[in-house]
Amino acid sequence: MSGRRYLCLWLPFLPTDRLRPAAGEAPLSVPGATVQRVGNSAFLVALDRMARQRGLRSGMTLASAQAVCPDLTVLPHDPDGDRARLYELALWCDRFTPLVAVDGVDGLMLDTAGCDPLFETDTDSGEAVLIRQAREGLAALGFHASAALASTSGAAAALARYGGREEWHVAPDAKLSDVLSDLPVTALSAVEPGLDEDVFDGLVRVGLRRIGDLIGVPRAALAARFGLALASALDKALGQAPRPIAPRPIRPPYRVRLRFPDPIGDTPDIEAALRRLLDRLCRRLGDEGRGCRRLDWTLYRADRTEQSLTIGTARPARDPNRLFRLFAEKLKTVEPGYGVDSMLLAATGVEACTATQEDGIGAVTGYDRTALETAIDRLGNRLGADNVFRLAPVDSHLPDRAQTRTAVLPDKSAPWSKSGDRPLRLLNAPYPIEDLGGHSFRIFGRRTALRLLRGPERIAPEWWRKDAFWAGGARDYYDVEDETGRRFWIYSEAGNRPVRWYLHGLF
Amino acid sequence: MSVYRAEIFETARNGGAWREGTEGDGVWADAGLRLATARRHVDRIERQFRRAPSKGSALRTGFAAVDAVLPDGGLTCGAIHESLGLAARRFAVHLLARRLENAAAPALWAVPVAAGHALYGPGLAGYGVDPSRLVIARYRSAVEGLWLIEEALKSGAFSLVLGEPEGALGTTAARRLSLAAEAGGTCGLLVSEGGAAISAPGTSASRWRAEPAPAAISETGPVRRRLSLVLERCRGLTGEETRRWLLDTV
Repeated sequence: MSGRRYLCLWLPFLPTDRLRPAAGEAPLSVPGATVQRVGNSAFLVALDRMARQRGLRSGMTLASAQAVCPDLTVLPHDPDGDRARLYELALWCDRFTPLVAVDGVDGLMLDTAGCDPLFETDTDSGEAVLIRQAREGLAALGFHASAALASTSGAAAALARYGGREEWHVAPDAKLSDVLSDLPVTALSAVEPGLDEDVFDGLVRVGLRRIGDLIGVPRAALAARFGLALASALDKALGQAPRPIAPRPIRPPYRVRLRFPDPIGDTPDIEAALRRLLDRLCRRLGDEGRGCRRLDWTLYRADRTEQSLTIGTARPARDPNRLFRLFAEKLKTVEPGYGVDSMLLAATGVEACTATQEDGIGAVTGYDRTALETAIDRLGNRLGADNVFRLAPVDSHLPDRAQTRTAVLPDKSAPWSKSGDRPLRLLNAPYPIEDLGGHSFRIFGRRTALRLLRGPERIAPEWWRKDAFWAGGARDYYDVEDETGRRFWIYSEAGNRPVRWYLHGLF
Repeated sequence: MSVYRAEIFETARNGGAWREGTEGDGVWADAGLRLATARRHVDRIERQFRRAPSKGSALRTGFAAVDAVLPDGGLTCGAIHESLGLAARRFAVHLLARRLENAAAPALWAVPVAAGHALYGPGLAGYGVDPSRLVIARYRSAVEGLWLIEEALKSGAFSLVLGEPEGALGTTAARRLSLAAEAGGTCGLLVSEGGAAISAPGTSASRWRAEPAPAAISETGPVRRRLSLVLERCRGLTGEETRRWLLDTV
């Protein structure tokens, strides 16, 4: 096992540390705890340091905790959020080593073998600096952490949690059995999460309180009496059995860069470079089964200026030809200036994208979806994404609120009501018309004799909403036509005298 | 067509028994030249018989009397059509409803950004159009509008492309749209509520003039709305058929 080095970072107050900055108003001098509700009662789950110092314990009811400690800040218990934050912190730890694993529910395990020389300074060893930077960095993010660096991951996990110190730095040549001998036997639960409470109770009952007491006992006897898990936990802590860690695969951001030995400026060169960037990016997206919704292409010119072009797609895409065609519209706007030094292509909004979407089998919908997506993307990129849309119904009986805009894809939506004759065009603002008497009105400056087809239809404003447009109160709508057959949708405000008429729509 | 092609290649292979007037008389010395000439001839014959490659069937107007007159039994796909007159939009919406009934792909309507009150979903729904299957694209300038209509036609992704160009199109623009419709196999419909023709002569497959007509109100039945429709011109139609109808619409 020689040469292995593991740094365990234990975050004892992860749930409260995570929520406290968000809780905002509560100053950190006030104790805090997360609370889970079970039926009508609430129990404390995770506590911060101050809550523990004030005598609160996990599992207390909230009522008794507040009796002890009236100023307790109550935070929601959210194990999924805790786990997600722990993964984020694992990504943050990529700065120390590429091999970072999540250890239990509240710890991080870093394989730091070979990384320490990078942190070495004149006065301190690399490992000492690494421990300090990791703890300070986490503290700056709002997390309290205990750290232990040892030759086995088991020893590091046990020391960080049960070592009683905030920093442990076990030299590579130190004997682990000596270092661990003072720890309580419960420390082994950090090494082997499956270990039962009963096992520790049994150990204490026979007088085996410390790990040092166990080391002398023959393993076979230990395993026979207390189960194999205990013996294996001891072996793992001492480095006599392997305890591998499962580092999270690091997913670098979806960016590809291309540098040129000499600045380029010709359109074919720039196109070829873009194609190469797209090929590289799309190959990676394809390997991971993902597609991008947005691509930012930045060209860095020789005179240190830059130009950015952005395209968006309606659905996650990873077909380099299709993405290239979307850029092709914008290629004429590229101004190489003194020449382009390097290019960066970054995909944002990366989402899962299954192969069937790419294949575009339109069997379900009965038409060529890929063609539609490609067309929508092309139009959207030239006209602006918000200028290509569909109409969606709004559940309102007011004619001017009955529709809204929605994205073209995905193409499912609520059904439209077919009731009622509504005009094909609704004017943004009703156009005042003048009643000339005898069914004649002045519309667009011309005297028009109208014939009633349908009406009146009374539409009242929504009383729960203040709407200046409907300030005139309820309206009576009429569907009318002139002698040539042109149809109008006009209304009068029911409550107002003298009656005023407006044109609101054209058929 | 395949008969013509086979015949010509047959003659070309047999060593020039077949003569071609414009190339002069005599036996072809060079096989390559012979083949090239044969190809040119095939092209020429095919051009006479060529019909736009249409993806869907013809777009039926839904009026039996009108469809009976049209050479394809409806509006030819892969071509541009025009709808003019004060009720041009109503006729266009009527055609749109028929199209969406029979085709799975959505339709596209190009409108200028400036026209805020361009399309009203509940009104479209009343005409039998499912507005959810209508993509609306807004353009800022006339040039952008033409680009948009051309792209939409060419993509083949839409079952019907509607546009309302401002004023008449130049010959080039009209020709481009016509070619785009042919390339995409898409039916294009240019709508103008002003009376003047939009498209240059010969570029649109049909031109319709739709005018409103007074509705028929009976004491007992529902109001029957009417449309006066005139087929001003139509490719492939030369006879003295009726070209004027008074139709009941929704």
